[in-house]
Amino acid sequence: MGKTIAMQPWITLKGCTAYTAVLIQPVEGWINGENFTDAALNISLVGGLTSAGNTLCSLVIETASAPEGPWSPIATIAAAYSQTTKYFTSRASENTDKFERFLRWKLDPSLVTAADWTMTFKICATVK
Amino acid sequence: MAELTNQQLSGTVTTPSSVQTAAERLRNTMGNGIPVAAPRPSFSPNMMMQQKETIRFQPWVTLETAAGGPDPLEIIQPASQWLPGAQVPTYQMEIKVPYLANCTLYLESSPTAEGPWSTVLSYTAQTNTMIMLASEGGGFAGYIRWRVAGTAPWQICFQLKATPGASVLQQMGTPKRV
Repeated sequence: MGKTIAMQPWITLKGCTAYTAVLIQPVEGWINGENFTDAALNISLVGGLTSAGNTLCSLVIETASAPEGPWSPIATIAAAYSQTTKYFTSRASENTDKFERFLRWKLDPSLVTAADWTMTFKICATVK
Repeated sequence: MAELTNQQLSGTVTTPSSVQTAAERLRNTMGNGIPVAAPRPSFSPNMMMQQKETIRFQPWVTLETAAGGPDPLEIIQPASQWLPGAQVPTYQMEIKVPYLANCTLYLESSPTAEGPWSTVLSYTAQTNTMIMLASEGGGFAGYIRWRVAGTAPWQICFQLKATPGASVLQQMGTPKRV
C-alpha cells in the first residue's frame, strides 16, 4: 500500500530575465526514498509558456544519493496548463526512470527565453 | 562553549538536535516529517562551530496587488514570523528575489514589537545575495521583519533565510599583540 505525500503544495513563483540563479525546493520538502522503491509524482502545472507556446521556464525533477548531491535531472515538464504523472523507481531491473535516494524540484532560469515568467504548480508524491 | 571530550572526538556522541542542519534531519525522515531509522551521525571536532540552525525567515512566496481598488499598498510580515534579534549578535541572511516590479522589499528592525521600525536593507530590483547583519554598531536590535511597499499594481517573488551566528568580534578572533 502506497502513501501520498504533498511534496509541494500549490505555489506561484515568478522570475525575470535578469535573474539567472536556479530556484530549488527548500530542503524540508525533499522526498527521502530510503524506505521505498517506487515513486509516482503527480504534477499540476500552470504557466511557463508564452502565448505563442514558446518555453519560458521548465520544472525539473532532480535526484541524488545524498542531500549534498550531486543532483541529476530525471524529468522535465515544460507544458503549460498540464497535469502529468511521472513514474520513477530505484530498482535496477526496471526500465522506468531511476531515482536515487532523494527527489526535489528545481526551476532553471537558464531555460528562460527573453521574457519574464510565472509558474504555478503543485506536486503530490505517491510512494511504496 | 563546552570543551569536547575524547569520547565526542572519537565519534561516539549523538549530534544534538539543536545543531542538526535541515539536510541532516532530512536524512532521518521520508520527506514531510515521516521518520525512518536514524543513521549514526559522523562527527568532526568542528561540527559545533560549523553547523548553525538556519531559520526559514520567509519561504518562497509571491505577492501581487491589483491596479486600483482598496488593496493595501504595503504588506508587512506577520508578527509571529519576525526574527528575534535581542540575543543574536549576527545573522547571515540569504536573500533571493527573482522578480520585483513597482515595489521595494525592506528589511526592518525595531527594539520593540511596537516600533519604531528602521530600515536595515532595501531592494528595488531582483537580487540573489548573501549578507551579514550585525547588531554591533546598531545594525539591528530586538526584532527583524520584512515589509513590501510600492505603487499598485506591484509584484514580488522572494525567499529569505537567516542563520544566526556569533558576534563579528568573536568570528574575527582576538588580535595578536605586536
